[in-house]
Amino acid sequence: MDAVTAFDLTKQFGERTALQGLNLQVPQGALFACVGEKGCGKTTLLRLLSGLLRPDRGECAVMGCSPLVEGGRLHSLLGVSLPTSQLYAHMTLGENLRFFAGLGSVSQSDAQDRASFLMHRLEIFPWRDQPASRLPTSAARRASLARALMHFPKVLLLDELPMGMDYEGREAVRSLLTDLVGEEGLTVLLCTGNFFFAESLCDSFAVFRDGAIGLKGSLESLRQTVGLNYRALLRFSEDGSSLEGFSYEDGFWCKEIQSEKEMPQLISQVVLSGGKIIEAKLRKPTLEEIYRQYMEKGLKREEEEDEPRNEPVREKLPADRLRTAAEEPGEEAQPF
Amino acid sequence: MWKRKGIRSLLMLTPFALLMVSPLVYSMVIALLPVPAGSGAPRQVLELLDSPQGLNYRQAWFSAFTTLICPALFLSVPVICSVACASVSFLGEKEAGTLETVLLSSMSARSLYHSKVFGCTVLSVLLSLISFLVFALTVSVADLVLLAPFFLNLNWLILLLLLMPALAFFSVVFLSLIIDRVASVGEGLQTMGYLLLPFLLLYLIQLTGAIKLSALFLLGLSVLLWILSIVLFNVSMHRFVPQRLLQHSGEEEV
Repeated sequence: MDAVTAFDLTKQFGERTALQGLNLQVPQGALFACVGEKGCGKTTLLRLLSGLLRPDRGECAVMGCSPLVEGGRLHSLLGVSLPTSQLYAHMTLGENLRFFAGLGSVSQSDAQDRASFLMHRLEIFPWRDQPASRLPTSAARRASLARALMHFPKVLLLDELPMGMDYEGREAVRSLLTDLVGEEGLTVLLCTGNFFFAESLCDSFAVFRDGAIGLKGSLESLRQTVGLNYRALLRFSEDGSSLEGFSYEDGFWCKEIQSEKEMPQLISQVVLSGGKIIEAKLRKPTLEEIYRQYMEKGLKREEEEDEPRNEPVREKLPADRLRTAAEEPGEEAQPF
Repeated sequence: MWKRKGIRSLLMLTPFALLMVSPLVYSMVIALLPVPAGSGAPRQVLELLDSPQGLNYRQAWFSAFTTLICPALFLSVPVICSVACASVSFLGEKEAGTLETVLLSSMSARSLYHSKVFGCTVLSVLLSLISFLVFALTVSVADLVLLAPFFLNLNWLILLLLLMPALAFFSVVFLSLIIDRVASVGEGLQTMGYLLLPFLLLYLIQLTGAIKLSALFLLGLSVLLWILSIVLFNVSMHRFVPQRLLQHSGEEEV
């Protein structure tokens, strides 16, 4: 059973279509990221999966539970962290976590242990006795994640998690989620516009465009789909302008290669041809570069479709020659 | 709820002002007001009382106050308390963003709705009962001082045991029904005007002598209010769904 499934999921807000016939399967134990520009439907997808919205068409399920039919059971398996879901401002961080653990039927002692564990791992333990209204932005986002994890969910939905988080916070989150996927079998579905964070955390991706998924797969499969190559970056002790196929960028001589397996061969060739390599790096296309390439290709295709077609002008045949052609058996009159 | 200063003041001071300060001030004014010898209360006032025989000027006016005006003051308390509690419970959570967080928990929307409605109703009834006790103490002392007839009659018992809880419940359910049309706690508090007006008008009209609110009338009114409350409770419960409660969020965050 897949952790998250969506079939023909469609949602409109007035005249604006947020999601259009979206199909998605996320296997259990995956770290899956949905990326795209603002307004492409990522948040709407999470709200549909968590039961906060009803789809106009299609269906979705989390661990086999429909959000509309089995809401209570769904939320016992699901943890959701959205930027709009707040903690109680007048309660301390620790009180908030224990309160929401109680709603998730977690015993008091387990809630205490779990809260302590999550606060330490997310590095927000120093703020445990602070009212939630006084938490710094980065700590508040991590506190929201901790709240979503208090009841030991099987699936975690995250919307714009790294927003407002500092570097240490993001690293703490990344470390915790990676460990929980391995130890507790958690499945993570992250929706974000932060490509760097998505790439550092997740191993499968879906690129959203105009309410639907345009690309889906691992980073390598996405790279191959959009046609981006690896880049070999070499730095020489002497001038490398004599090397064929290399271009000079930011202190390195660069050449595109199809796969990382070509790198050793390339280095050997350069050394054999007399090049003195000081530094050699293999640069993989990032998720953001893949996304930009995909979007540029998509835009170019749209521009081509919008241009008027330049078809050759055909000469008109006299009418009698048209009739003769039509009467002969096996031949059709060619329209002009 | 108790952390909000405004709401705390409303819940504590309003019943106190309505049901303790007003009777106290009125009884002191009546007791200290110079009355010409041999003068009696107006006939129109005596006609509104149940047992006007043998009442002097002060006794008649005080009896009119406790049986004709104080019930309206008393019925204001459950309305004010219910609307204040429900406004904070439903709209305050919606404003603060915690309603969404609770809807994402294992607690079903139905359980959440039940707990909010019954919690607000019980709190309102409790505050109304405490207010009544304070009122009863104040007025009883005044009755003793003025030798006026004891205020507690059948009308008061129906008010206390049937109409007040029905009004508290109805007020909470009414607010829960309109939460998708009201944006803030402040707007929610304004609905108490719509709920108070019918009862205040009823008792004002009684003062004109056009109608008399008998025990039977109050009993019928209580039953009607209970039936209406239960019907609206079920309607509101079925409408308590996340998409309707949080509908503004979905349109903004595509």
